Amino acid sequence: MAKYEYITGDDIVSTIQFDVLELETRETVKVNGEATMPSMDFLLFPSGLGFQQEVKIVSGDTIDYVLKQTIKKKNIKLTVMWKGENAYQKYKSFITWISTYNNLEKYHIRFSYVLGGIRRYVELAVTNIDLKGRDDYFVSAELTMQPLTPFYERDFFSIMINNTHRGKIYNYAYPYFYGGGAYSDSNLIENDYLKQVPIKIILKGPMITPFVNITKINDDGTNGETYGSVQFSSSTSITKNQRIIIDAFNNRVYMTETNLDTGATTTKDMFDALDKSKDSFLFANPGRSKITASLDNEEASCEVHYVRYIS
Amino acid sequence: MSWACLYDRQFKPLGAWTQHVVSEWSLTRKAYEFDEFKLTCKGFENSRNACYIALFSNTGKIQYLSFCGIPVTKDELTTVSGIDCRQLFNQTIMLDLGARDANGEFKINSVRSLFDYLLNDREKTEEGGLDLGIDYKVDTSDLTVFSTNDWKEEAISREKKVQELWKVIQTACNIYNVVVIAEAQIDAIENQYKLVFEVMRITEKKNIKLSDYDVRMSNTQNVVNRAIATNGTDIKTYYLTNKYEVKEYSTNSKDRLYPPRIVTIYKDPADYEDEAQEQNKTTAQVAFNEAKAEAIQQLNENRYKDKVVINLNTKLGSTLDDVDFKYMGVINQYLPADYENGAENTIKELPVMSIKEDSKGNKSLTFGRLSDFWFMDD
Repeated sequence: MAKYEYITGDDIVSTIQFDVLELETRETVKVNGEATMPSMDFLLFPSGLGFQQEVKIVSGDTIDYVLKQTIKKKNIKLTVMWKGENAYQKYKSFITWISTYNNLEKYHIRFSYVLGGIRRYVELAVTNIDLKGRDDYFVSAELTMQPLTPFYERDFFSIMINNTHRGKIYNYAYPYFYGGGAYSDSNLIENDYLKQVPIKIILKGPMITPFVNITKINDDGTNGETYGSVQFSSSTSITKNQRIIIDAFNNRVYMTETNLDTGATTTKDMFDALDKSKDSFLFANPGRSKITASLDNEEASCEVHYVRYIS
Repeated sequence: MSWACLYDRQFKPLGAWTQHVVSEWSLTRKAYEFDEFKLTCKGFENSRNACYIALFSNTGKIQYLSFCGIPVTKDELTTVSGIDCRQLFNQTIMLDLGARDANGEFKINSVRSLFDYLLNDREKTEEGGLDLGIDYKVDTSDLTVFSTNDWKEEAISREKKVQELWKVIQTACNIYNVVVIAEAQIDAIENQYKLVFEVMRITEKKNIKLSDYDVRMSNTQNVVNRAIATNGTDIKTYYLTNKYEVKEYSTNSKDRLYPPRIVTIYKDPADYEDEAQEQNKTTAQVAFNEAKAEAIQQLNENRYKDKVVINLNTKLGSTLDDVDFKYMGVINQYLPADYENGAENTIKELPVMSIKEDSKGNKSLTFGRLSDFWFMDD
């Protein structure tokens, strides 16, 4: 009979991955057709993957009263190891990869792991790399990362088009999810997070006086209150090769125009063209909501992007 | 999360990217003094021609507008110490509250006409007046409900003289229980912000039971509470009551403040020969009127010297979230030990003096007006 019993069980460390999101498109950055990833041989001792909540209370004689509840983001730390005679060279490649995607206005490095069969993502900034000396066959570094978002399970992406529109195929690779929302009641935003979540809207022309609204969906499936509305001034219109992006992730409202001859794209801030009596950005309240937009023209479309954060 | 935008004088947003994420901000809106506003945001690449700074909520609702002063950008962060738009009225200028129309009647003869005169750019109404260089509107529509009976002729000095405009405005605010606020209103036709100075009556009342809140109080009893106006011959005494009203008494009353702190305002009739001729009155009458106006003004300045600060992030604090400068706090349980008739009489009415909030979610409400040592409180 064995003196010690080795217990093997489920493991999250082996599921840890890094990739990079391009913020403009929120698509995974690919190199030679593959999602870009850093070079590393082992990962050890991840920490900060759990849950932290700050609850502000007023103490009563018997019970306490909750004033404010906030989900706190915890720094994630782990040890990265490289093996072999060229371990330092591998470390250098790792650093180069981090530096390549360190422009936080353009990219977000994304950390993920699998828990209970579902991959959880968090976008983060690498704030500290503490390189250790060689230990025999290995070189290691302590990595500290600051989350920029809560954890989420997947990006959701849907396209709404006019009901009369036909024939287009929208093909988005994992982790994008085609919400399938034709311009009908089928589009749905489900926010299970404690707070509002930002939404990115892309309106494709042609449109006259573009608008987009977000409406609560009641428990019985009926439409509730329209609680957010972005409207452009009456003098604003966009053509077929123009897009308006209302991006609550990056706090920008802008128009892009593609020159059909050269393919060059120009960008213009559109904040001043917003109807100032309405909202500038849309956020989805906790619960279920739907989007409606100015889709009178059959060539027009509205893309909706949001992330389902988890507590 | 909030964001900020710089605007030029015509309210055109500045920068290639106009919206800038704010890292921290703090704002103290004040009814009777100038607001204090500071924010730090992602660095503006250039702030040339900047005139206004606006703070927006995450969805884009404008929360506050002020003059931007000179933004300071350092380490990719811009810090703006906002200047209250009402500082436009922080000027020492010639005021003629005694001007007459073609019929010989005073042009200023109502509460609304008084505020219209004080707040409007005098360049538009008088030759050689001010050139403020800022376009704004004045909204005194809320004052139309004041009747001729509400007009307090005694409290106004008709003498044409150089005065501190803001002080004159605040005296008028005290007398008629109104506040002047600056707002960014939206011109729906032009889809453009406009700077509007609105004069609001304090019309709403909020009952506040002090034991329900986390309260910090300061009481100032050592203020001038009696003012004697005289021209050497005629004498009139005005009293500041414990209900913060300025009254004239013929008999003793229980609502007088003790101990008495007296100031005497003497105006020499010999100094008012020109004005007497202009107003077709005797020099003694004019001097006495000026003395009375100054006496009332001095007592009005001492109204609401007590101060009650309520932290809105404490129990029941959220019940006061909607309170703004239109509100008068009806404060219950105010110094109950000082009242001979028990708790039912321990009610004080104090206007909202300031609303303080910041990006960390702190918010507090102060009822009262000015205290002598307000700068030592925080």
